[in-house]
Amino acid sequence: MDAILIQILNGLDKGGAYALIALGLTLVFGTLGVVNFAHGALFMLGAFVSVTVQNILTISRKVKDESITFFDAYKETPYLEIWWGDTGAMIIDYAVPISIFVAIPVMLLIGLAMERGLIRFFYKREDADQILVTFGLAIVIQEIVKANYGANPIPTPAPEVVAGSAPVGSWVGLGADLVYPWWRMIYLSFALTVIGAVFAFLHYTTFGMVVRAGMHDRETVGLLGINIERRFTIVFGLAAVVAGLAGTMYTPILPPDYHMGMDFLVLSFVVVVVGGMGSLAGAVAAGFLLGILQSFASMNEVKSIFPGIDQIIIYLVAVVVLLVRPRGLMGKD
Amino acid sequence: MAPETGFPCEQFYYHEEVDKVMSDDIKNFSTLSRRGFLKTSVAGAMAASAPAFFVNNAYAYTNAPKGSTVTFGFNVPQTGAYADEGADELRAYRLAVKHINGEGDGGMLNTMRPAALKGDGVNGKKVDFVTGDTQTKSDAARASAKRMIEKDGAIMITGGSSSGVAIAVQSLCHEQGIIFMAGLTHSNDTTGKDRRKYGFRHFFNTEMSGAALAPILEKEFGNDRVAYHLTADYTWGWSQEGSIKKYTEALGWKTGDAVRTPLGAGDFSQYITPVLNSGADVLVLNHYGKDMVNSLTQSVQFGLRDKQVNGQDFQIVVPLFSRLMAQGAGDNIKGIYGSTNWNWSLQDEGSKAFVKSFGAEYGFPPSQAAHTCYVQALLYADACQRAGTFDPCGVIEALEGHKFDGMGNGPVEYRQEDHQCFKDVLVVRGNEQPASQFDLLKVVEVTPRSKVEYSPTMDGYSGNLGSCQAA
Amino acid sequence: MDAINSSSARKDNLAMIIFVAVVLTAPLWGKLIGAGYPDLLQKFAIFGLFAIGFNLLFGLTGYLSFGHAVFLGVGSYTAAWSFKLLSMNPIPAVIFALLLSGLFAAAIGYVSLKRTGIYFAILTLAFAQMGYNLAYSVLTPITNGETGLRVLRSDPRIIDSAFGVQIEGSPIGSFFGIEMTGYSGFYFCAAMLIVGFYVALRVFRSPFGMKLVAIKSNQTRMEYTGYNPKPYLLTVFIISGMYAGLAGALMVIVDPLAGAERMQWTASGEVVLMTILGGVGTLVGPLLGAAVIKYFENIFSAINETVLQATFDFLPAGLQNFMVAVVHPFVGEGWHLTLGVLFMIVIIFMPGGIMEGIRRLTNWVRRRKE
Repeated sequence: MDAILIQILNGLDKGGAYALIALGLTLVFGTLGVVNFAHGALFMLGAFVSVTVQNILTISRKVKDESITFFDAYKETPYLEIWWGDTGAMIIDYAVPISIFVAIPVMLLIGLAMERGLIRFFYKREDADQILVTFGLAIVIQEIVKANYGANPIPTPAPEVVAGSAPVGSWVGLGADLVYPWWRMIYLSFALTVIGAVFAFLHYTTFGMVVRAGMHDRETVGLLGINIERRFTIVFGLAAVVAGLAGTMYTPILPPDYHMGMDFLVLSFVVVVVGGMGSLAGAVAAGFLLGILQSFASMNEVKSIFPGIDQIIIYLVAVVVLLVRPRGLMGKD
Repeated sequence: MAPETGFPCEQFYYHEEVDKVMSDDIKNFSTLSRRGFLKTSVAGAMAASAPAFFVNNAYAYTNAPKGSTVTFGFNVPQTGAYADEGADELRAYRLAVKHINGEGDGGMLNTMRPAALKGDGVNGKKVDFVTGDTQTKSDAARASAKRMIEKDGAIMITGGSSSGVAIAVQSLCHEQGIIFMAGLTHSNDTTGKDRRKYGFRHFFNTEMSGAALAPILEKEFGNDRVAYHLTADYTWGWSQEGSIKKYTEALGWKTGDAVRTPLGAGDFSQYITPVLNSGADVLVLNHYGKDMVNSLTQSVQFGLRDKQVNGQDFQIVVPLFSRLMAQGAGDNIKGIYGSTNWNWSLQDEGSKAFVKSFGAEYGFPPSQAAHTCYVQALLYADACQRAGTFDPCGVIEALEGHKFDGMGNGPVEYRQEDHQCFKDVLVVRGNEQPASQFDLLKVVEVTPRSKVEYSPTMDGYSGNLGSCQAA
Repeated sequence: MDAINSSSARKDNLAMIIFVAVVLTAPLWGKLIGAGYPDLLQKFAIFGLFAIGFNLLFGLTGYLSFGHAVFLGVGSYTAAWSFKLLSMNPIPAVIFALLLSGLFAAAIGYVSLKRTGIYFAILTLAFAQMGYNLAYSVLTPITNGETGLRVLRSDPRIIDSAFGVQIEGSPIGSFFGIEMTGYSGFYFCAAMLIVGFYVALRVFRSPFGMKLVAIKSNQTRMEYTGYNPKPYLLTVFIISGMYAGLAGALMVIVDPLAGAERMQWTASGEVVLMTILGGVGTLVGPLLGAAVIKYFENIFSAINETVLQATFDFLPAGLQNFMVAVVHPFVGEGWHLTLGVLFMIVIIFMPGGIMEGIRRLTNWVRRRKE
């Protein structure tokens, strides 16, 4: 019972991440009709916003370690701590949450620049061209990050108070062994909030309604004399922000490295397609579905019956779903 | 005619005319692989041109150096997850080449014993080098090694940061008659069942990690423990899991579950949660690189280190530590035990000399990957110098059973039977009070060589080197 | 050389002769660009074949498979097992690889072709990823996992041993006595490439090829005219998978090792990129794309600082250092960056890939002449 409950939590948490990444991807495809292979790179950039914020907050006074003579080794004390003591230390501790506020404008700018500078020239081009150009862009972004931050993962811990685990078991009366990391629960709630906000935005604002109309029938909306182009730009910016936030918040769980975007790229496409290309609700549903199934498939009990099932479950589910539902879970023809 | 055993006649090297006439045939021949060569000559199929006949005498082995330089091939990961480690390996190689050629402060050239190298190159030739990207993929690594052999005329290939790649490149080099000096590769198989006559490994392996760690684990955690393994689902992971199981079970530990995780899983939560109420009180993470960083970070988040099980504190062990990778796990490595091949904080003459010249050159200390690669390059050059030739058969003979000291690991021996270096192994702990940004690992024990030695024909480790002549 | 412009048979023959001449003289012109060594030339031929086959599916029908590497892997493993169990002769290896990859293609194609567009792409991707993940882990007894399947001297090789063929040293593919390494290995691959190119040319020109193009332009209309497109699609999918299987077998024939990473999505993605970079739907384009990517991977990655210093040695010291500093990020460990930039530039300025560029260039030259 404990085991199942906790795997559900794991699944929800994974699903939250998958859904968040897939959301932007499907939004861009649904409105702009662009297959964006650089979406993973946006996720990675978001993660590196938090690395950068942390680096800035921890700019340190360096005291040379005199015992080492062959090169310069330092004992580092961040200026924030020197100036403000415990308050400074606390600010540094909260680097990741602070990064969210930085990530929103930064990712929006990156998204807008990407759309205006490159993507908009590819609306009318073939899928193949879109794939190659966005893949090329992804590689370029990745290499720039690698040149500046190296290839190794960089630790970006969660704030001290939520770095450990919550006694979930004793809350629900299932024993003290059942614990779950605070940050993962925060991530899940954050994911749900962002998803909710995006849905609300698309449903309850005029802007959103036009965008949704555009997803259904781009030509008609264009005929109505609405400047759809400008809205596309904003949608792309929005997608970049969502992907970026997914990355920023994920850093305490997965210390970021330059390649993490590529690692998630294929997965996010699978989620989007299983959900139904261009369907927001589908992407979210598929994200949670795949997350939960993946967690269950990794249980020892399951693996002993189907060896290796945890390695292929996502793809297996994708095949089954696409065979049963030609346009994914919630796709439309 | 036995071209393989005879050392080349030097006078042919400098015979320019012959060189010119032969150059095309040489190129064609060198690509045939040394073995093809041999077969051709043995079969007496010398119907080829007369120059080719010459070639066979003068260039009895692949890529015999012409002119005044000899080319080393540095095959390291420059892209992918191990790019930083690869970059550090490359730094070490550049430094090694400098020192061999008599530039810089000489580094370990001054401390290694015995040392035939005099800082004037090798066998009177200056060392030149070419580089390539393994991408930590067997195919790419082999393609890169082939380029160095076929196009650039490399006499020796070295480097790498993964066992799968090392084994793949090692067998390629063996086929081509080129010596391979393995970089960072920790799987037993490299010098176990996949050992090759042309391959040499200075780095330690999982068997040694297990043997070295066990006494410390016993001392720190006692005999009454239940271990849970999370293992990267590929050869190195299995090798690591097997070794740790073997040695901890000998202590009286029980092994709970051993769970295989897909390589590059990213999020390990679904594998970590079952540990919580499994009854185990030690978690062994048989992961390396990114997998290690992620699984360790997440395990700590799940509160494993704050847990009490069976009345004892829950413990995490990471059998193979690397300082570069440990950085990625941040504070989570503090207090965690593991083993490592070398650490820059060692105070012996060799380590100090190496850290000094590396630090002066690049401004930070070398990693264990850099150390093993530097040592390998020096050992190879030294063996050539001692053999008085670049003929691999001569060099192999010089390396096999070679005993040396002053290179950072105390007295070391390249065992003849499997080409594995035997030396003391470092047991380290993540440093709780780092004095600087590089001071991440604290050496808690140097397990002597005698404790980590095993028989070359031990069950599961025996393999066939093959011979130098008919690779 | 566009599929649509049906040109005369004479023109095709001429193209074929030029193609054969270019391929066979590769060791000579390869030297000029630093690619004149057997391994890279073999890769050109092998990945050229892979891309040509992929383009038969993608270029003609518009069906984008994102899992073609699985056939490459199947071909490789089959060839390796043929080497292990039967003979070091490449002929049985090629035959079995073609058969088995064809079989896999039939199964995967049958299922995947039930869907179109991106749904088709993800289905093929899913199959390939399952293949890769399983080959890496639980199928290790068949694939030897991460280390890769190697051909050993101790393997049974029943045909060889029946003929009393002895292996001394490591086993190497042997085409009736000719060892499949170095340039002889390349010429074996080149022969396969020429055959593959010829078959592709015939497919492009055949009524079958025309029907495939018709599927691309409008599947619904084709259905109205009474044609059921499925059998045509499945046929070309199988042919295309067999090209990949052949390429995989050739990789093992020239270098007896088969690894799971050949099936990873990055490998599937690579052939997509090769084809688009060269020019989708053109005969030669995919080959060019394959050559460019492999050239970057093997040659650009090898340029290090020392080489750069030597290259710019003719410049005054200050300028030399400046040039090294400018160029360095794009070579050596930065070769990925160059590749990414190249993808972007090509596709931004030449929709239609390298072939489009070549066409524009020839048009421009022609106009200049007039």
